[in-house]
Amino acid sequence: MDYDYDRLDEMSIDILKELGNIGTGNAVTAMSQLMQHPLEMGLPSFQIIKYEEMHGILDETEELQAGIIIETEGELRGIFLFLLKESFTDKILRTMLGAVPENLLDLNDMEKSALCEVGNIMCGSYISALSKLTNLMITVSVPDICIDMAGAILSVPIIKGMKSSDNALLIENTFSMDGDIFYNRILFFPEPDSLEKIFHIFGG
Amino acid sequence: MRMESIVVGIAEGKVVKAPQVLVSYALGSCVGVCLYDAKNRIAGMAHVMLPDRSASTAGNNEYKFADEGIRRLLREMKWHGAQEQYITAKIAGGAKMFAFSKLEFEIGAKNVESVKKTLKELGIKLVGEDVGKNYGRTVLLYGDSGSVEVRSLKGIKLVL
Repeated sequence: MDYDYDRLDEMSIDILKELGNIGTGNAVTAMSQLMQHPLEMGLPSFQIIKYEEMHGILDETEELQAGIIIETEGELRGIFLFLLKESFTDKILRTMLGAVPENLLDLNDMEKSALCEVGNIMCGSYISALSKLTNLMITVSVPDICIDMAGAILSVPIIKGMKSSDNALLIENTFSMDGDIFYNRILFFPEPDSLEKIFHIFGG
Repeated sequence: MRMESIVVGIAEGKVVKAPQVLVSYALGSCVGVCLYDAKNRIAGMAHVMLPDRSASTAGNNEYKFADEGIRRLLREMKWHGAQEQYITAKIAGGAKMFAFSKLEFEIGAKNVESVKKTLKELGIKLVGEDVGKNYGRTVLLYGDSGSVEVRSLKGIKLVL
C-alpha cells in the first residue's frame, strides 16, 4: 500500500522532530570531537520529498559540492547522502588538517578520508537515532566520496531509487563555526518498504 | 547576443528550431542525447537516466529510458518537421561518479551502451561523443549549427 507522505499526521511529525533532536545531539558531540573545535548546530528541518522534486532543492545544479554516500543494510535499507557546500568542505579541511587544498577537485587520499569521516559521523548520527527510535537493526557500508557538480552527485541515489520508491527524507541543518554559518543537507533514500516501516512502527 | 537556453531536465526531452539552444545541466551517469537535423535545423535533446525499462518498475515516462527516450525524441522531431535522413547524433555523459561504491552498477556505461544500440537500430549516425570517466557534465546543443558543447568543473570544455 502506498503511504501518503504528503499528509503526515501530528504523531509522525513529532517523531521526525524527536529524530532531529537525538540525531543532532549525537552529531554535535561527535563532530566537535572529530574536529577538535567547538561548533553549534541548529535544529534540522525534516521533509519527505518526491524524487521529481529532488533537483529543485539545489540552488545551483552545477555548483561544486562534496557528496558522501553511505548505504544502510539490515532492517532498514537505503542510501544516505550528505551534501556539503564548498565553503564548509573547505572549512572542515582547514580545521582538521590545517591546510586547504588548492583544488577541491583534486584531493589526496587523506583529505578524502577526512571528509568521508565527517559524512560517516553526520549520517551515522541520524542512523543511530533512527535505530534507537525504531528498534530496528541497521548496519552501514564504508562511505564513498564524490566532489563535483551537485546535480551530478545527487543523480546517483535518485537513479538508484527510481527503480523502486518515490519518496526520500530530506534533512537540512546548519552548523556554525567561528561565526560562520554553513547549510548542509542529508538525504535518505529508503528502499520502498523501509520508509513505510518507520512510520508503521510509530503507529502512523 | 546570447540565446536563452531551454533547459532539458532529468528524464525530459525537448525539441527546438534554430537559433534556440538546449541545455542539460550536471549529467552524472545520465546521458544527454543530442539529435540534429542539419537541413531543417531542428534540434532535439533527451536527458535519459536508465538503459531500458527492465531496470525500473516505475514509469510511464519514456524519457527516463535510453531506448524509448530516443525513439520518442525522434518522433517529436519528425512531428516538428525534421527528416530522418538528415539527423545525426552526438552524446555526452554516462560517467561513474563514485569510485568505490557498488551503488551505480556501471549504470553510466550501460546507459551509453543502450543509447548506441538504439541509435544503430534507428540508423542514426553517431558523429560525436564524450562519455564515461568520472566527472559531471553540462551539455549544450546549439540549434543554429548543431554543435554540442560539453562543460565540466575540471575546466574541460569540449566542442563536438
